Amino acid sequence: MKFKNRISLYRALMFPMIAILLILFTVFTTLWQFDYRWITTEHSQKLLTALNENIETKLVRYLNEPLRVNQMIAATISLRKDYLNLDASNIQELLKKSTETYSSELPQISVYGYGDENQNFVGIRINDDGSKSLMLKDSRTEGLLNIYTTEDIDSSIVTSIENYDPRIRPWYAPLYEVPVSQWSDIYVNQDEKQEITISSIVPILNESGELVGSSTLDIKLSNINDFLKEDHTKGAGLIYIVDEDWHILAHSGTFSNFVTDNGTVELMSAIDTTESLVRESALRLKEGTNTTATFKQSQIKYYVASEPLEILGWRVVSVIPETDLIGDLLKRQSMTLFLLIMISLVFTYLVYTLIRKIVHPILNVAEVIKRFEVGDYATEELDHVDSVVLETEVFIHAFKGLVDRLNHFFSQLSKSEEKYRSLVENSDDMIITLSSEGRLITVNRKFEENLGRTRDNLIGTLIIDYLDQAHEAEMWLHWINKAIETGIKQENTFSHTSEEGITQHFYVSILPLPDRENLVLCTFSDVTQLIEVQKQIDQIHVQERTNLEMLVSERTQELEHAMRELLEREKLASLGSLVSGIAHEINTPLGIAVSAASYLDTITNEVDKKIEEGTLTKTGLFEYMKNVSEGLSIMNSNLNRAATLVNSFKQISVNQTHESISKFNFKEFIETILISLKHETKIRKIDIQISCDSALVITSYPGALTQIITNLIMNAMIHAFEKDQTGTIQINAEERPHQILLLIKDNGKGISDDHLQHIFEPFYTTNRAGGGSGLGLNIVYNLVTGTLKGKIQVESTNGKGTQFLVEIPKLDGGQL
Amino acid sequence: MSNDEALNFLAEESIVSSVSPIKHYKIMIADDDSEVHLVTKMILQSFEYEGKGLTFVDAYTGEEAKQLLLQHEDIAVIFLDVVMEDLHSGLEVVTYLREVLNNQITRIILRTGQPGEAPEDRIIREYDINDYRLKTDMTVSRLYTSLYTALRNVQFIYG
Repeated sequence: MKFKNRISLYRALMFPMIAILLILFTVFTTLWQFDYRWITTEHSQKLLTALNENIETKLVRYLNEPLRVNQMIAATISLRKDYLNLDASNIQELLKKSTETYSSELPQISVYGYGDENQNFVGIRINDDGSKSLMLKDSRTEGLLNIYTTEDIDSSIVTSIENYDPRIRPWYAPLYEVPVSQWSDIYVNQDEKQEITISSIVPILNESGELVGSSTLDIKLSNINDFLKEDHTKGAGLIYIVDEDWHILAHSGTFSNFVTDNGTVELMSAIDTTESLVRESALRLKEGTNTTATFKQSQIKYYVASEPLEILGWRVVSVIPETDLIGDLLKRQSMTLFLLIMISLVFTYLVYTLIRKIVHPILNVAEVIKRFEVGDYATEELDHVDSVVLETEVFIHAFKGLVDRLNHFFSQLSKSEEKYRSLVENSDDMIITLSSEGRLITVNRKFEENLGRTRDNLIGTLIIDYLDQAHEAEMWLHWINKAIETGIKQENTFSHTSEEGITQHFYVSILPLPDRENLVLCTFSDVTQLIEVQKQIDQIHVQERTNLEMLVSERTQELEHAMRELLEREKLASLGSLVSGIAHEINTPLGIAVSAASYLDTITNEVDKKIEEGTLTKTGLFEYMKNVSEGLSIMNSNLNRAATLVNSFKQISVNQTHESISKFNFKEFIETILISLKHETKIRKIDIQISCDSALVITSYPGALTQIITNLIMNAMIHAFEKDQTGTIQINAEERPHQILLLIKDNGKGISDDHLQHIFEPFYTTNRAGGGSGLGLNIVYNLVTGTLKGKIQVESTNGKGTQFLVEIPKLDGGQL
Repeated sequence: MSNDEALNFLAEESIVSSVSPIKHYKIMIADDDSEVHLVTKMILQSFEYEGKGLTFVDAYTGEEAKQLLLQHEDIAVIFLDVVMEDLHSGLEVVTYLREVLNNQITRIILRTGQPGEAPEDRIIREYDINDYRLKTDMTVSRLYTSLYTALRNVQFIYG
């Protein structure tokens, strides 16, 4: 199977997820990178520059304040013309006051000094511990520069320096060239401390503008260091000041930036210093044209900004590490990224686990299914599969159920296959499998026995080799091919005579095997015995049939007898119904007669009574007579009706067997009947025509025929025509070889279908009010079908007439 | 007096102003035999019950009887033949009167020529009729008895 181009479920799920996570990381980090770059390039540089400018501003103020104070001192001296005195006590007093005023405000000033053309010098030094020392050279010190322990001239002298000429000092000499306020070069103080100093110098001029002295305020470079150190904006960074030649003047570090050697100053170059931050930053600034730069050292990024100072041609350089500048942004970014990665990993792991929990059972199932191919249907390992997901659990459960049923099914199948094999092998029929060319593929035990050869010798040989005659070979091949082509079982019979001369009959069924192309299953059933038995059965059948036929004819006779009896009974039943009809018909006129008679009796009694009482009036008598007459008339007519009815019934109940048979001329016979009806016909306008061979002579029942013809004529006269209507009744008689056809036909109003179907039923009449009994045609029917054993048919068309056709069988001499 | 004496015993005519009954009982005769109508009317012509005489309504078929019953709601008694245009015409009239017209008052005296066709007990049980008579049994006295009974019932029902 081609699974190679398919990816597994959890790859299909994991890959996109990981891809999404990676894309997210990339986007996030890129965005951060942008942020970071923006912050570093734009923001941090601005910040740094601002920081630097701030420092510079402070520094400028740090230096300018002393200058302002100095100018004030110089102006005071110049105004008071103190420079003229050889005794410098006034100036000493002034400086002392100044120190008292400014020492706390301007701590950067280390010395308040004064020198003049008289080579006098006054200086008050503020020591590191806050004490003050007086330095003095005037007329009182006798040409020596004395340095006292305190600011008081009476205190003890620490040092005395000879030949001190203030005019050659770096804080004085430059004034000769340019007599304006200025900053001195850096120099070493010539006192016992030999501090490296820079001084603010203000010239003191006389009235004619000539230089007469210099007022100076010293600032120790170490004080500037302290100032820079105190600035906290730098954080872990560094601020330093260099001159135009990149010599370090001051810095915020603790290292020493200069050396003194015999009263001269040697400043350390920023380029050459061992201080790496200073060196690197200086190099970057020097090489670049910008006032800013960055560099990296010990994994820390530093930002550098430099600003030239307005005064002195100095330059302030700030070196700030990134963390101080932009805080922990990068660190926090990294932290966030780390957290994101951790969350993603945990999430991925969870998803992975979950998918595994889903996929693993499915893969397990797949594994189990795969083993089906090699016939292993075990599902036990699925029992331990930990499927946390309901659907998977359901899936596995369903699968196990399916496999269990399959197992069951397979085991049954194999059992039934085994059974089938055993059945085939042990069958009493010969069962073989044949290829399309008639080669034996498999045989069973019976086949071996019958042919007397083992299956090793049989398989692969051709079936036609074992046949009696050559033409059977073609037949066999035809059967086999037909079975294969049509796919339908072929059934044939086939005989085989052994060498001993015993003939066996076989029923052969050739069944195409649906799952094996070009193979047929051939079953030989030995039907030799069956055929014998069949023959015997056939003999028995012939015998049985004869018996059966006899039995049937007996039974038929019995049945016919029963049927005749039934008919008799039916006749009796109809007789019963006839009798009840008779009773009803007769009871009506009789009842009327009874009523009338009782009425007559009643009124006669009344009249008798009246006669006896003598109260009978004439009117009463006439009344009585009238009633008697009426009553008698009713009695008369109804008793007549009853009598007529009884007569008719007598005609019906005449015993037919006793009716006599005679031979007579048929035409004369009809004419006689018409004469007997003369009293009825003469009052009507009906023409009765007879059409009959005058030589026709028949043998029949004249009594019955008389009734038939009379009733049919009377029926036509009563029902077909109204009282005064004219009309024709035709009577035709024709002779046929075995019967006479008698047709009585009128051209009257006809009979409706409703009536026609009841016309022969007893007591069916449309003229009960007119005295009809409903028996006339019934009598005709009974006589024709009973006595004469003939047939009667009626046809009628509404408005055109009715005809009765009577078939009268001829009774020949034998009957007489 | 000799027998051939003229009938001189006849009483003189007395003029009796016979107050004809204000109201008549209406009687229906349903029978396909006109003679039955004739004889019934003859017998009952002078019948009176509590000073009231009779008028007659004639029906010759079951259908006609139903029509007339619909028209005459005040028929007191019916003399009803069982067999008319068909075997059960009379019984159909009973059903029509009692169930369709919902008339429980009119008395029905069933008359039949052939008891086998309509046995008395079954008829009275299954059909709401009041008397059952054979045609051969209709003498004057019995007819009167039947009619008296019927009319008494009617009067009782009417109150």
